[in-house]
Amino acid sequence: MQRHFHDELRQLRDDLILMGERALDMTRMVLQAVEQGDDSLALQVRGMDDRVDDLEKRVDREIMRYLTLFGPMGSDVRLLLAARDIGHDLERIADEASVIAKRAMVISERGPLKDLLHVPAEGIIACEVLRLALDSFIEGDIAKARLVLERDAEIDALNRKNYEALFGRSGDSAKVSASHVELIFISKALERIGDHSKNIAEQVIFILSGEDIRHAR
Amino acid sequence: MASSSDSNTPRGEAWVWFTGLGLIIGLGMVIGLLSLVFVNGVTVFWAPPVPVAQIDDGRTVIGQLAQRRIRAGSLANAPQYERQYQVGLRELNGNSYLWVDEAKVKAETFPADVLGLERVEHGPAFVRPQALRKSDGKVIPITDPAFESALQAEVSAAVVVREKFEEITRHRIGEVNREMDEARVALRRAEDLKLADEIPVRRRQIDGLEERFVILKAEAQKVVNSGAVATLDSKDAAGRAVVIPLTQIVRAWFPNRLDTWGRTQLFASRLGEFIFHEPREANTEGGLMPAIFGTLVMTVFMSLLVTPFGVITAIYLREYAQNGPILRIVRISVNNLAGVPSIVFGVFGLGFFVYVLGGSIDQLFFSDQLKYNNNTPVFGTGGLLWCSLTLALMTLPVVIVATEEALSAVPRGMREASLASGASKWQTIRDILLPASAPGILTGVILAMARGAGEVAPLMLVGVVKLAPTLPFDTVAPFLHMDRKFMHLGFHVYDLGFQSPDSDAARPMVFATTLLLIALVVTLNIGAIWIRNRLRARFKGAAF
Amino acid sequence: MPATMNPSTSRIQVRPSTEREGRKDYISIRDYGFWYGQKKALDAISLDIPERQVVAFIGPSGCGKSTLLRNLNRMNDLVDGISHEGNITINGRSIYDPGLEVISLRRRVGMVFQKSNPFPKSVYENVVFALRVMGVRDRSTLDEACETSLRKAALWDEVKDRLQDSALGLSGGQMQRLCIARAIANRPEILLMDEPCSALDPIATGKIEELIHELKEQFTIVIVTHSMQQAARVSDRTAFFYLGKQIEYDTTEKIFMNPSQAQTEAYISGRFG
Repeated sequence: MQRHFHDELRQLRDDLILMGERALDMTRMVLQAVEQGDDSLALQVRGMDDRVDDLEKRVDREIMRYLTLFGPMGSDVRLLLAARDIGHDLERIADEASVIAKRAMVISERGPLKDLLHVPAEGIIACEVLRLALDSFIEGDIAKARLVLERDAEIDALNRKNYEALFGRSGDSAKVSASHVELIFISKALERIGDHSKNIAEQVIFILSGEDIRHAR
Repeated sequence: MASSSDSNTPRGEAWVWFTGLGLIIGLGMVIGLLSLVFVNGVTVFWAPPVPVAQIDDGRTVIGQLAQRRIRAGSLANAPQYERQYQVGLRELNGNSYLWVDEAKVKAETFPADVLGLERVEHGPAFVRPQALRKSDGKVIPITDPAFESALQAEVSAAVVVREKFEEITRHRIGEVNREMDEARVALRRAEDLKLADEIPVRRRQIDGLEERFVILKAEAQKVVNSGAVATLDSKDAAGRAVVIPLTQIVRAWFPNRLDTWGRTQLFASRLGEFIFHEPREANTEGGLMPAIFGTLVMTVFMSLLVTPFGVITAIYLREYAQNGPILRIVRISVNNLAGVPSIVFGVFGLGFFVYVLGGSIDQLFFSDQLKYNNNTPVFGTGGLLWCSLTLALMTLPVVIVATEEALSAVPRGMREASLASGASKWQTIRDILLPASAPGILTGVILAMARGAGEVAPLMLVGVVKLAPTLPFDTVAPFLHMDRKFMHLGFHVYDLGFQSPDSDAARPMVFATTLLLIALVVTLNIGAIWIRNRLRARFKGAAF
Repeated sequence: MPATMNPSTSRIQVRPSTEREGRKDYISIRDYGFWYGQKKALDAISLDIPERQVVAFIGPSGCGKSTLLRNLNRMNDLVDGISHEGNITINGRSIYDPGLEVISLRRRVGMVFQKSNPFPKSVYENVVFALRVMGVRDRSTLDEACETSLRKAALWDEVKDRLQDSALGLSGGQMQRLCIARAIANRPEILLMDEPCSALDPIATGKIEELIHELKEQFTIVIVTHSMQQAARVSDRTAFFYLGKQIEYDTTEKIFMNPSQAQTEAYISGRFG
């Protein structure tokens, strides 16, 4: 039997997916901004963050409404609990994206940077992993979610390589060095995005299997 | 406390047995009563072998064993019995029944030539036939193997003749008589009112009827003559010659020759006569059709009268009347009405229905009849209508109480649903409450019928008679004659048991009639229960 | 990009439609008090029930919610010794207007009871009962009303082949839906429901609740329920009563998520008493 309030659950899912797509868009755009030193793009990304924040609040409201009014049970409870975490993670991803945008603007202020270390590669993987996490949620695909957990390590590795690359460099001007430090922040932010994607994947696994694999290992 | 908890038997369990005992005693009494009535009632129609008994004092007795009992004054430890034989031939023996000391019976034989006869007059007879003198003058001796078939053929012929005679005397002459009565009343009225035109017409009509009467009488005589020739020469137990005209014989059988199948056929034939024919011999023989019919019609009428009356009263009491002291008094009165002795209703029926109501009806609608027919009342005397009304009044409390209970048992939700649907109070009663309480109401009607059908005392005052010349229902308009007196099984039992000139002959019929009465009441009840169950079927699955 | 990116095409608005048009004070209860004999059952009730919305009355037993409901179609008139103060109007007209026949009021205000109470008649006769008592005799009108009501009550497919069978052979949930079909057969404007699911299993309850959700497109529905979950699931607005008094009346979301009265909070959170 389909109940009328099940539509609201679908609504909630749709809102989360929308949030996810926005967060991913921001990440992609901000990476483009970093690579091309495009300030206007970075500014646009920073403007998008508010929208995601609004969405997070709306998702939270929907979760609370559903919990109080419709007495959810079983997978619906898991979805609602996980939705709150997923919403939070997506909001954090959007925050990280706007942090990156800020850093990108600082860098471009000092003039274009030739060597972006491993940041573009890290960014591509971060986007891929986030895409994968979102798809695992949209499609309810537990395999994709588990793939996210594995690929997170790639981002961590690239992040470490960025540090090593920075410390291995010499003969850069103070300006370039300062920009590279900003780059390290960006790399760190991308690493955070990877972690949030991983959290999302864990929540997807929780929704689908009921298994809580956080803090495992 | 501790000691009692040791026992495996719960305390007070003995009461289960005690209450069970009450049920068993009750059941035993009901079953005993029914089987007594059944056995005694059914064996009346069974033809056992008939012995020829040689008695010490030299007498010979031919007779069907009717009873056997301990002789008064004999010792308890060495009981002596005496037997009662139904010997028949009342016109010769003075009595149909004969008591004989069992000790004095020397021998009992069962000769094949003993013939049992049921006769139109003087009760049955057991004889030893000698020869059949047929209508055409031929004589067939008992030794002739064709004797029995010839005898039965003559008996059948005699029955046909008698039926023809009955048809003429009872129905056609009866009809002429009725028309004659009407014509005479009309003539008297015409003479009184000096209707010059009508007087000769009526006179001519009466003359015509008188002619028809004479012709019919002659016709009846002719019929009688046509069959009056054959006789059966027989000897009774003492060897005296007995000549029995065959017109007198209703049924003849050789009780010692019959096999079981023959006895069964005889049984069926007698039972059929009992149910479908009219009584003979002061009601001690023949059938009870008029009484069955009368009881049935009266009971049905009573139900038709009491049901609407009782239901309407109950609806008012339950649905419309305001709760209060008056309503309480009415309820108490209704309930007490059920406890009033039935004869009181009879007196009321006679005093109010017959004299007041019936008298008024006669004054209003049958004044000519009263004036010109020697003050013969029509409704101003006992009759079917007054009997039904009296019993309806008597059984009214049963129906009222049952209906009230049925109405109050209708779930409140149903009432509310109907009202909430926009139905008025009356629509709710008509469409919802009455159909839903119909089974309960019918239960009340069943109880009323059971009580009414068996009631005798009040009926004796308001219209039941020992022998009614006509049924309350016939082919003369208006077909149903509510004013007529009628016969009733219950009264019939009383009449046979206590008013019969030959109590020995009547006793078996008392049981047979009682059985019939019970069967009739049971049939009526089964009919009503069947209707009730059909109504109940509509409630199947109902959650209340 | 997936289509979900575009909010304007992907979203279906399924919020409780407080914005559905209609009179906001379709049923208006003003300073209403009610007595059974000497006992005051309702005190100073004032609330407006908007047209084509579901309003739930909640509260502990004996709080007066059923009494109020049964006064909306004057079912309490059956009880001896009742009296009232204040007024109730439906679409602007007082239900106590001496010119208004109680019967015509009840034809406009259908009612479904706690215990399903089909008549011991056929399914068909149950549904068309209200029309029959109105004097409708035309067969085709009755047939049509029967089918329409049963369809609206989501029962048509289950009973269409046994319309002439006894209604008492239906299951509990079917019987209650039949009672709903019966209540809406003569097209009332308002549907009163007095704990309609209290005797039903969860599946049947779910079906009835879905039905209520659909019926509010056409009817103004007032439902009394002991189940707060049910009130939360089906209603747009909720009134909380206690000891014959109206404690709080607001949107269902407000009442259950953030009630303004401490008593309401205690009751809905199970801390009552």
